[in-house]
Amino acid sequence: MADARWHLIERLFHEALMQSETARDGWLDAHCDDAGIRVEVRRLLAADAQLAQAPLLEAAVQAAARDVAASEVTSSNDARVGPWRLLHELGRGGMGIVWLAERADGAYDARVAIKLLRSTLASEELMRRFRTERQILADLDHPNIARLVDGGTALDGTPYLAMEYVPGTTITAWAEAQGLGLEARLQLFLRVCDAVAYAHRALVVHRDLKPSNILVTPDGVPKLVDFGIAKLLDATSADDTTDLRPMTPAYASPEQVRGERLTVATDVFSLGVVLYELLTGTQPFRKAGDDASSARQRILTTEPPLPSRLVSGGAHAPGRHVDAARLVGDLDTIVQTALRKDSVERYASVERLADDLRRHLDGRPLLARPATPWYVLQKFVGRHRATVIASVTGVALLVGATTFYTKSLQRARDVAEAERVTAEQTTAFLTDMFRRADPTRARGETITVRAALDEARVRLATDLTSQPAVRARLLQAMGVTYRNLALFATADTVLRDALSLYARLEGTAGGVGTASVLEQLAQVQVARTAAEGRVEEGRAFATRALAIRERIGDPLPLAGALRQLAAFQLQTSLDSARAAYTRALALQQRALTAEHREVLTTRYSLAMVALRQGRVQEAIDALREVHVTRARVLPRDDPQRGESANLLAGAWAQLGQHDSARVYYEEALALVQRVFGPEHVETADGLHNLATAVQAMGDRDSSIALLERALAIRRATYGALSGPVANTLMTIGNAHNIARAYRESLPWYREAITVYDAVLPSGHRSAYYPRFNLGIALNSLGRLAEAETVLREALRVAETSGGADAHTAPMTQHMLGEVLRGQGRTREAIAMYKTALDRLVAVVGPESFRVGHPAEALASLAAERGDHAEVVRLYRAYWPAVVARFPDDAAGLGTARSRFASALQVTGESAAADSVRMADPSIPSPR
Amino acid sequence: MPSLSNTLALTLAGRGQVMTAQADDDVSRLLLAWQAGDEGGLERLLPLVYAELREIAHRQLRNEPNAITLQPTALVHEAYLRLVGADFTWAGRTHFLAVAARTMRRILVDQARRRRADRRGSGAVQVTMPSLAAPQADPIDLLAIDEALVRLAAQDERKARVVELRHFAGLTLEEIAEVLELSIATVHRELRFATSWLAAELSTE
Repeated sequence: MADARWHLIERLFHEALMQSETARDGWLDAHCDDAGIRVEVRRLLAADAQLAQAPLLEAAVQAAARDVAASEVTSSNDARVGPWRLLHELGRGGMGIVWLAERADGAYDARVAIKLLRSTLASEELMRRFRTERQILADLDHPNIARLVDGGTALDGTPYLAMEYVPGTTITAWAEAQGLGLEARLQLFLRVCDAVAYAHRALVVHRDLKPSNILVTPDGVPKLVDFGIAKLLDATSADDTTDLRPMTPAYASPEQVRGERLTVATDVFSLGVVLYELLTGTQPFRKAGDDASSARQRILTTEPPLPSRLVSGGAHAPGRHVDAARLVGDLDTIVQTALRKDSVERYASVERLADDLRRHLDGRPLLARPATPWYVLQKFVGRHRATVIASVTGVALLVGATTFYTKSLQRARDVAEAERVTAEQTTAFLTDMFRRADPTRARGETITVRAALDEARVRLATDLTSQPAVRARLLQAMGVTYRNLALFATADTVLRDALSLYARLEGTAGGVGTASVLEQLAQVQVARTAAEGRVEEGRAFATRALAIRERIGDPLPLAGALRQLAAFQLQTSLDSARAAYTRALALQQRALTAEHREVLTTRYSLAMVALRQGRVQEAIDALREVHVTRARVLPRDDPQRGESANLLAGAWAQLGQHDSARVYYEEALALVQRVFGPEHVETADGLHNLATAVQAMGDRDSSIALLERALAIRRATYGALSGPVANTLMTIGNAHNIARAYRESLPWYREAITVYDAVLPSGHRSAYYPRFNLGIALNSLGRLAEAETVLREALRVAETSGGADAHTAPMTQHMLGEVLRGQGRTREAIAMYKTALDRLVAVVGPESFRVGHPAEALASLAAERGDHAEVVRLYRAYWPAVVARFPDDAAGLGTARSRFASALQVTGESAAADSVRMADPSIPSPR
Repeated sequence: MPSLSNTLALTLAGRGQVMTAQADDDVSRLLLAWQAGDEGGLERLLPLVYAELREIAHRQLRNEPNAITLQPTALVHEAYLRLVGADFTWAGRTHFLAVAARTMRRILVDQARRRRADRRGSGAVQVTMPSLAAPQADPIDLLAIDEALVRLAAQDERKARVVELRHFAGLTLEEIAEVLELSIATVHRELRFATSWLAAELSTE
C-alpha cells in the first residue's frame, strides 16, 4: 500500500467520522473519486461502528489470554456441549473451533462435528437468527451436502452448531493426492456444482465456498460443509449485506469485498476460484505477502492470468495431470466467465456454469462467449474508474453551472424564474436517475452509471416533452457523461438532440446553451479524432461555438471556446493554435489570478505549441514555471502535475538532455503509479516515456524491459491494432537502433508501420516516425535503395501533415542526403543536405544538435573535394551545433575537429588551427 | 481489563519455571540508555522485565490462587517499583510502561505459539477445554492480531505502538501521550484509526 494512499485513507476516515452517520456515504462519494479507496474507508468506518458496540480487540486479547491460561492449568476429559460429548479438536478457523463429538447420552451412535462459534453478536441475537435459519438449513437434504444436525447454546452461553461429520480432505488436496486428470477433476467439480445448485433452488446461498469447505471422503464423495453458516454469522444480516463478514479474501467475490448484496452470483464466483485452483494449482487472486487490503484490491481490479497460460508455464503441480492445450479456449472462457468482476456478466446460475462444463466435456459449443465488445468496453471503463466518477461529477457540475447562469443572467425576473424552475427540474431528474441506478446508493460503479443513463434516455423520450429547456439540459448532461464513459457515438447522438432543442429555444443565432452544446460536441470529436479523423467536423462545431461566444462577449467562456478551437488547430496549423491560445490567455488573465488552474492550463498549451514549433528553450522556460506553480498550488497527486512533468521531460529530450528528461519522466511515472496503480494505461504511458529517456542514455536492456511492460498494458487496453501499441513497438525498435543493433530493430518498425497504417487516417503525422527510423536502420545496414524508398515516404508524410513537428521534414531530408551520399549520388546529396540545413536553422536555430548533422555532413563533403574555405565557413557558422551533434562520440568530434583544424591551416589561419586542436570550442569564431 | 491480568497471572503461574531478575541498577541503567536513544538498551531490557512480570504473577497466584484482582497496570507498576525503584523520574516510568507493553505482548504471543506448536508437534489429542469460553479464546487469534500489528507497524509504526500500549499494558490515553510525546487528541485519533484498521484486517483473516 503506497504511503499517499494510506494517508489519504486515514484522512478520509477521520473526516468522514465528523459527518453525521447518515451523511457519510454521500460525503465520501463527493470527496474521493477512487473507488478502491472508498471501499477501504467504508470498511474502516463499518469496523469503527462495530467496535463501538463490541470492542473486538480487547475481547480478542482478553479471550486469547484466557485460553492460554486455561490450556495451562486445567484439563478435563468430559467436556460437554448440549447433548454432545467433545472428543477432540478437528480444527480452528475464522468462525471458531471445530470438535469431533458424539452423543453423550448414547441415544444413537453418530459422530458430529461441533462448531463452537465465535461471533461478535450477542448470543441471544445469534440464537434468534439461528432458530429462523435452522429449519431452512436442516431441510437441505442432498448426498453432497453435510447436514446440520443440531444447534444451541452451551452452558456458558457459547453458541454451537452440530453438523454431519465428514472425514475427508479438501477437494484440491484430494485431486492432487489421487493424481486426478483433467476430466476426473471436472467430473468431481460438477458434483460440487450440482450440490450448490440444489441449495440455491432451496434459496440458500453458501457465501463462503472454498476448498476447506468442500471435502472429499476417502471413497471419493464430495461433501459441502458450512452451508449458509456465513449468513447465520453475519453481524448485520437483516439485509444480506455487511462490511465485517468473516469471509476468506482469496475466494471472496468483488461484491462481497465491497460489502454489497450477496446472491447466487457470489457462489458462482467462488466456484470459479475453486475451479481455477483445481485446474492450475494456483489461486487466481492470491499473491505471496499480501495483506488483506491488497488481496481485496486485487479481487476488485485484477484479471487473473488465463488458466491455460499458467499451466503451460509449467510451474505448477497440476501441470503433471492437466494438459495446458486442453485449457485453451473453452475452459479458459468458462473460468473467465465465472470470474467476471460484474456479477451480471457471470453465469446467471450454477446450473449454467455446470452446463457449459458438460458441453465442453461433450465437445459441444459453449453458451458463454469469449470477451464481447461490451465486456471489453466495460473493462476499459473499469480501468478508468476515475473518469467514470468524473462523469458523475460532470453531471453535478453541469447542474451547478445551470444554477450559476440562472443567477448571472437575471435579465428579467421571469427569465430568471424560468431558469430556476428548469434548474430544479433538471436536478430532480438527475438525482432520481442515480437513485434508481442503485438501490444501495450509487457507489460509482460503471455498469450502474451506464445503466442509469440508458434507462434515463428511454424515460426522457416520453417524460418532460412539454419542457424543452429541461430536456435539452438533461440531454446535455447525459451526453457529457456518455463521453466520459468513452461511449462517443451515443454521446454524439444525444448531444445533437440537445443541439436541435436549443436551436428551437435560442433561435438560429444561438445563445449560451447552443454554444455549450457545440463545445461539448467538439470535444466528442476530439476524442474521436485519433480513431476516426473527425477533425473537420469538430472544428466546425468549435467555430460555431466561438462565433456565439464572441457575440455574447463573456470573457471566460470565450477563452474556453478559443481553446476548444485551438485543440483542432493543433492538428493542422500550429500558428493558428498559438494565436488562439495567446488570446485565450489574455482573456483569462484579466479575470483570473496568475496561479489559477485554467490560466496554467492555457500556458501549458502555449508551451506545447512552442515545443512543437521547435522553440525548445522557450518551451522549457515556460513549462518550468507552469510546473513549479502547479507543484505549489495543486494537490500532490493531481494528474496535471504529471502532464507538465512529462512535457518538460520531452522538451529536455529534444535538447538531447536525457538525464534531465529522465528525472521528469520518473516524477511523472511515480505520480501515475500512485494514482492509478501498476496496470493502468496512464502507467503504461509513464513507463513508455521513461523508457525513451533511458534508451537515449544507452541502457537498451532497461529500456526494453520498461517498454515490454508498457506494451502489455497497452495491448490489453487498446487492442493490438491501435496507435499507442504502434508507438511502443516503434520505441522498442528505437532501443535497438540506438544500440546500433539495426537488424533487430527492423521487424519492430515494420510492425509499427503496419499497425499505424491500419488505424490512422493517411497522412497522419504519427505514421512518419517509424518510417524515418526504419530509414535510418536500413541506411546503416547498407540497404540504401530500401532506405531511400522509406525515407521518401516519410518525407511525404512530414510535408503534408501540418501537425508534424517543424524539424521532421528537414531531418528527413538530411537522412535522404546520407542515403544519396552512400549511393555515390553526391550532387543530389549536397543539395538535400543544404535544404535540410537551411530549414533546420530556420526552425530550431543555428546551435541545435539537429543542425549539426547536415552541417557536419556538408563539411566533410567539402573537405573531400578540397573546398577548405567552405569547411571553415560551415564550422565557423555551426560549430556549437556540430559539438552538440556528437554528445557521446569523442572520436566523431575528434575527426570534425581535425578536419576543421586542417582547413584552417590550409587557409592560412595557423593560430586558430592550433586552438581548435587544443579543443577549445570558443576559438573558431570569426576574426 | 481485569480478565487479561487474571489470565496472565494464571498463564504465568502455569509455566512454573521462573527466572530471577537481574540487579535493579542494571534496569535503571538500561532504561536510561534506551531513553537516551540506544535501541539496543530495549533489547537488553526486555528479558529482565519479562522475567520480572512472570515472577510477580507467579507469586501473586501462589498467594492467592483465585486472584482476579490483578490489573495489568498494577502488575506493570509493581514490576517497575521492584526493578527501577520509586525515585526514578516520571519520564522513566512511562518508558518503562512502554517496555512492559511490548513484553506483555511477547509473553502472550510466545505462549500462543508454543501451544500451537504443541498441537502440531505431538499429534496427541489435547482435551484441555473444559470451559466453553474457550472458543472465543483462540490462540491463533492472538497470533493473527500480532501479525496484523506487525503489518500495521510496517505501514505506520506509531499506530502499532499506540495499540500495543493501550491493549497490552492497559495504559490510559494520557500515559500513552506521555510515552510517545503526542497530544492526547492525536493518541485518540491514532487509536481509533488503528483499532478500526485491525478489526477490518482481522475480520478477513
